[in-house]
Amino acid sequence: MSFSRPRSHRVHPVGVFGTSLPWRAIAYVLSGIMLAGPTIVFLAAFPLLPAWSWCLSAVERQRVRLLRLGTIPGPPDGLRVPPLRNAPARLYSSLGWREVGATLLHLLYAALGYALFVFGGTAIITLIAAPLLPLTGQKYVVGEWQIDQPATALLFTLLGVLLLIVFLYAVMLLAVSQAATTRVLIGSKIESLERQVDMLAGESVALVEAFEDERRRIERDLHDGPQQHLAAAALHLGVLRTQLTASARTPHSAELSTLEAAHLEVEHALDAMRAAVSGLRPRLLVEDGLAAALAELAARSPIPAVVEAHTFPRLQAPVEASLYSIASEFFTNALKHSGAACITVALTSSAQELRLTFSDDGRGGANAENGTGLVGIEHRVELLGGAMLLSSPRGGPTVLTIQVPESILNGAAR
Amino acid sequence: MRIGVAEDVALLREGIAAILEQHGHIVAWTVEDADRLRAQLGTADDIDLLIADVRMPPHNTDDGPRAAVDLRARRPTVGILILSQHLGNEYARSLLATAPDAPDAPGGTGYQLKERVGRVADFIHSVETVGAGGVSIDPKVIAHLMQERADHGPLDTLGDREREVLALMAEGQTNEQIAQTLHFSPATVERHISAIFTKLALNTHPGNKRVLAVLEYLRD
Repeated sequence: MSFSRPRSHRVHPVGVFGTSLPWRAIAYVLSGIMLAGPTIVFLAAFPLLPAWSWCLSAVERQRVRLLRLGTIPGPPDGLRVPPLRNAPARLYSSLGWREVGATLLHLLYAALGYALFVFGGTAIITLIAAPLLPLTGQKYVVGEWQIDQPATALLFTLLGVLLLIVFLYAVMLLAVSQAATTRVLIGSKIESLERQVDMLAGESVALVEAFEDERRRIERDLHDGPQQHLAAAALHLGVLRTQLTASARTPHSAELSTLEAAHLEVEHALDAMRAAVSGLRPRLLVEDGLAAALAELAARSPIPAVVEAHTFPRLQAPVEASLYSIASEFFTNALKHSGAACITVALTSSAQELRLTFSDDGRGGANAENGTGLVGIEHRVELLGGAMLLSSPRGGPTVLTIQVPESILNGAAR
Repeated sequence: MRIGVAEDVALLREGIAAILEQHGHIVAWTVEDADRLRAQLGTADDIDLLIADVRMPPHNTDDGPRAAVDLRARRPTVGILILSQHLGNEYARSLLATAPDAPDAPGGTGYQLKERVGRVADFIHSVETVGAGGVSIDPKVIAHLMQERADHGPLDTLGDREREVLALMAEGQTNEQIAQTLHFSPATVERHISAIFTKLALNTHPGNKRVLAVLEYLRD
């Protein structure tokens, strides 16, 4: 998992000068100063200030990368300009106005940076250049001191180097603090959360998909391997039996009945394997979707079951498979533990979520601790990124509700 | 009968061919994948019956029935017997949808599970039924189809006995065999069958009523 979170700059106070950070900080502050130019113009044309601040913010979100920091998350889709139709929404949003604030603050930082460079820069250059002045025959006067000897001048050079170090620290501090305040002001929390949700949704769908692929592989392996061999074995046993029956030597009744038993066992093995395979991935689910597969599951259930499902579009295959497995486990649990006489399944979907509700009229008392089925269901719901609500008081009834948010249903498709 | 066999597992292919030849049929050719099957069907229209596996190379999906459906469109008189590992209904249904219902197109249709081949007598009976233009569906497949179908349509009007008779007809049993299985007199069986035809409104239909009744029974 990789979040785009700002990396911390825990740098060695001396070692930092061996890195590119001082240069990066200087570039950050200097480019900041230049970007403040238009702000002054737009301050005069203040009705247009928001437009400029949106542009500037877009630049600022990327500019922090100069400091090796992660990009600042931009506005959510509905606030993104262009398209121009989102402009009113941006104007009314708190983010839009925080960006204007950030632009004014940017101007302040630019002024600070400007002062730092002009005064600090002048002082440093002057001090470091002090020893060179006597060579040109000029006297260097600082207050009451007169420097006319190179040795004294060297002292000033040393002072200049010290000032340079302090200056660089100040520039770095200014750059980092500007980047941090900018992030707080123009970083969209909604957007960064959405990004995480998207990513997590994608990951869990991928995980479910991996399970689904694995089932498919198992099904194929069973079909291509053991099932073919068993079918061939059944064929040979059958041929052997006809040969024995037809052969002149009689009777073979003992051998024949053993052979018949073996033949039946092979056929039972094939039946069992078929049942296991169809449980792995029901064809109806693949072809006709969740509602149809649930109806089929209900029809096969030894406990009478009713499915109420409205028509809705097909979901992603892994999501359907996962919900179907949940349903299948609920039916198994109800059969094993509940003693229910009737199961109801309701499948409803809205723009925000899909809701799958199971209820039985059994003895209740179901919880994740006393049966493996619920743990399995819980695990699947978790993988799906859905929510699960179980109500199963002693004496029943048991009601299990699964909610899957829209972001998951369409997660990977987005 | 001249029979073509398409099956990708060598053991089964040879076994099926051997059984057919022992019972006096001619195995015109055997192929191991759908491409060769199509090539064979394209060049030589020399068979009375095609026995084909569902899942074969190259696609390993439903290549067998696909080729069979094409064959049915081109030569409706050739019988088709599908062998499958699956109870799965979509193959059976797609093929049954092509089953001829006109009297001049006697090609039969069958759908059997692979292990049925081991029940040699049943298998040969099924081969001969389909070869003669009948329908022969594996009892396990029928049970599966019945289980998952919601009751509807004209079948609801059939009585329990009539349903039993119809199920046995779907397996490809003759009137005499049905009479034996259900311990009826042949006259009783015929009475039930004629009642079935009446209830399914097939009495005036020009096609093979038996096949049509079975198709109605298996239809979704």
